[in-house]
Amino acid sequence: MEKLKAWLKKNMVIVFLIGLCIGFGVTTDTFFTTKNVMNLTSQMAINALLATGLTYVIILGGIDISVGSVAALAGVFSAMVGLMFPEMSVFMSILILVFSALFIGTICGFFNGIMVTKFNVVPMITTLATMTIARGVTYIITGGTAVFGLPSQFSWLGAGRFLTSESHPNGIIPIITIFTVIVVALMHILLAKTVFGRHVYATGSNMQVAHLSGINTSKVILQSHILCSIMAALGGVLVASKLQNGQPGACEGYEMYAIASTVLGGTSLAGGSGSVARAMFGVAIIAVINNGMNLLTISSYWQKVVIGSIILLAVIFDMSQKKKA
Amino acid sequence: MNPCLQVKNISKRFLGVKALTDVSLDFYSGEMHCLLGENGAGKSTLIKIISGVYDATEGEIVYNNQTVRFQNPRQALDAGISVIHQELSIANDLTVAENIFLGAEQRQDFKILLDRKRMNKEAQDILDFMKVDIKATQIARELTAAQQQMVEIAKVMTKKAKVVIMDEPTSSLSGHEIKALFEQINILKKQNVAIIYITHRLKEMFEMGEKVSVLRDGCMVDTFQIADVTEKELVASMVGREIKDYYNRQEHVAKEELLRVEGLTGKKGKFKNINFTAYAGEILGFAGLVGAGRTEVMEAIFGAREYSKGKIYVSGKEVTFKSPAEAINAHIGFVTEDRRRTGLMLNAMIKNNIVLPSLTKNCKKFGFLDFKWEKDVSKDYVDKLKVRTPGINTVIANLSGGNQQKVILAKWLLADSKILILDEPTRGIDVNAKSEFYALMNAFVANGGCIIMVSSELPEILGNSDRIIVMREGEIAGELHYKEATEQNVIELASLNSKNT
Repeated sequence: MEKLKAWLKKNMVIVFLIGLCIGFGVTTDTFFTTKNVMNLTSQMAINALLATGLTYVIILGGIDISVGSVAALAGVFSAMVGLMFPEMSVFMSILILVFSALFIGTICGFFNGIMVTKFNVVPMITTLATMTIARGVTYIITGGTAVFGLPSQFSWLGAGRFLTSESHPNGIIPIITIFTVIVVALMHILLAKTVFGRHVYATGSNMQVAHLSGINTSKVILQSHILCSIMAALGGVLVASKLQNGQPGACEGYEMYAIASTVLGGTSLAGGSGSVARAMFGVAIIAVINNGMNLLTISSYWQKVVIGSIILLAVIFDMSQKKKA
Repeated sequence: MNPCLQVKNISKRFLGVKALTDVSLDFYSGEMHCLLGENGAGKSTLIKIISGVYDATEGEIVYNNQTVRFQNPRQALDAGISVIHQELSIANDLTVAENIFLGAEQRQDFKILLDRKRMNKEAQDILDFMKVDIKATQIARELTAAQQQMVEIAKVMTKKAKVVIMDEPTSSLSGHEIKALFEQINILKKQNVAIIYITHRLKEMFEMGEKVSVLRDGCMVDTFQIADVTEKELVASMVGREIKDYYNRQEHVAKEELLRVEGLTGKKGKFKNINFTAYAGEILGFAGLVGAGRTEVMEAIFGAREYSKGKIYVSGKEVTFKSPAEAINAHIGFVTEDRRRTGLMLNAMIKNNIVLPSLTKNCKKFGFLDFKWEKDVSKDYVDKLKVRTPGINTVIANLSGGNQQKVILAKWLLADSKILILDEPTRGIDVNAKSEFYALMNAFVANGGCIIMVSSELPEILGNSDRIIVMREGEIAGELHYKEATEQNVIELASLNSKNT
């Protein structure tokens, strides 16, 4: 009994998620249909990638609010590269998308990381600047209009589906879901099972101790920022692929959803603890609330109010647990 | 004349550990009364009780012929007892006047807006009266440490304090700044303020004080009229203790040279021209007062602090460590003086703390963690060092100080340290844990390791070291073999300024 209680307290977010699903399952007929569940997973994908990267930076005790803008920049960049290859194959389109994400992500993450480690600018301000600059660059290179005219192969990764059948002519399993699951799993393993991941926790837990234990904390912070931006950029190119064009105004405000998901998943903003897998529960909660309220035809304005309130409640609950411990 | 402030039979216990035992003292107006004692003798605890930070376990305080019991520092302050701490409490971004009136701001007629003009003027009046060259409108950040101290004193003057407690006020001041401070103290004395003055520097006491009380191990030893006492007598009464047998001194045999430091000089004059050699199989003690530069020397050796000149040799080879990582690779370990801030990841498990510096060397292919190894070695060290804990997954914040210290030791043993730097290794841990820790130290050197121990506790230095290096104000004041070292000659080397006495 005691063990059950302890488990419940530690995993409140899972219980809450299951409760939500049951609630929407009862109040709507459509929530638990294959189609809706699959849609749900593809809706989660972008936020899942952003939250995964953010988990690293937040465990370090930092923050990155530039992820939305970096995603938009990578998105239009991939679309512009894509325009140069009108005859591209599906394989080629994947190469273009991944290359664009790595390229833009590395540049932005390197910039953030250097500002934080070499110039000692606090992460909040560094990434606030990057958020504005990246968004500005996005508008400059596109001239403020969408980049379109891409071939349909370009949208295979973001909008394609596997397992076509008679009842599901467009396929059942979104490719974007499979791609995201693989990337998130790799990032989870990197954080939880490798020396690098342990160094991230150590640096976030106590930077001086980590430094005095022989860890190159600057390098760890720099690498984590690069990873975070690459994840954001991956999210961005997937949005471009899904829409089959590059929107300069895409992903606006996504950083807030990503931060919220990470915090809902129990990663402490004070640093030192958290996990990618747990952040995914936060991602799922936000996606389920959005999806369920859509099904109930509740206005999206109310959805914002509800999500904001839930984040606050989660953090209050978390703090009260910590105080007791 | 009645005493202004009386401390009667005060005792204080922290979780069963006695910090003060039956201390009684009288303080008189217009007198400077010095408190003398080693680190841990109970001086700080005593002033914290007087100023309302702690509540005494037993005994009472009589102030202006009334028994008082301050619930917090604010009440003591309002009653006229001010403290000037070693670390100044100046708000750097406020002006001098704002600092002086902090918490007692003057307001305009309607009690809403600050009356800046009046505050500036009154502050300036006080500063002028003190004859110091500070403007009331200056931002505090622009002032030197000495000037900031003057601001603290001005603050005390506006409060019309009856008792002023100064905790090592001269530790960061230079010669002529100290002189300026003394002038202010004389002004305070003339205004019939009772001054309680804590210092390690005997010279200052003889110059300024009327009385001195010596504390040792939380007990009052004696109170002297300064005019009737000599430095030697004071040092003798601070010591006057036999070294307890829990040190269990062992004879070590020094073997090959492991570490040699030549002419090491730090930046900003933190330490100058440090020369010493440390050998395998010995414990080398570093004695000195707090702030003598010992920690800074150790940090420089460990690659955690830049130095401007000098050479470091490990096993005869010259090294220049750019980071602690390189020092760790050269088999140096560093147990820092503040385990909560720089020693431990407090919210992490014991095993995570133990393996931290050794992870890179003991991982599997592609940098994957070896969880089985982590578990096995942690268990092994927890057993070997007898860390009292429910298990290796316990969060380290839940352990006692002594057990935390053992975990830190385990961490450096696992990292294969040959040279172990211990900075105040037994600070804040109980006697039992101490003697266990000393046994572990002895085992380490018996196996051919070398320990460099920085400690401000003399019995610890004398009871464990084979050789003792004494530092004073950033320089090596002398080196003693343990057989010739006594508390007396170590204290003399550490605190007497040979140039001036």
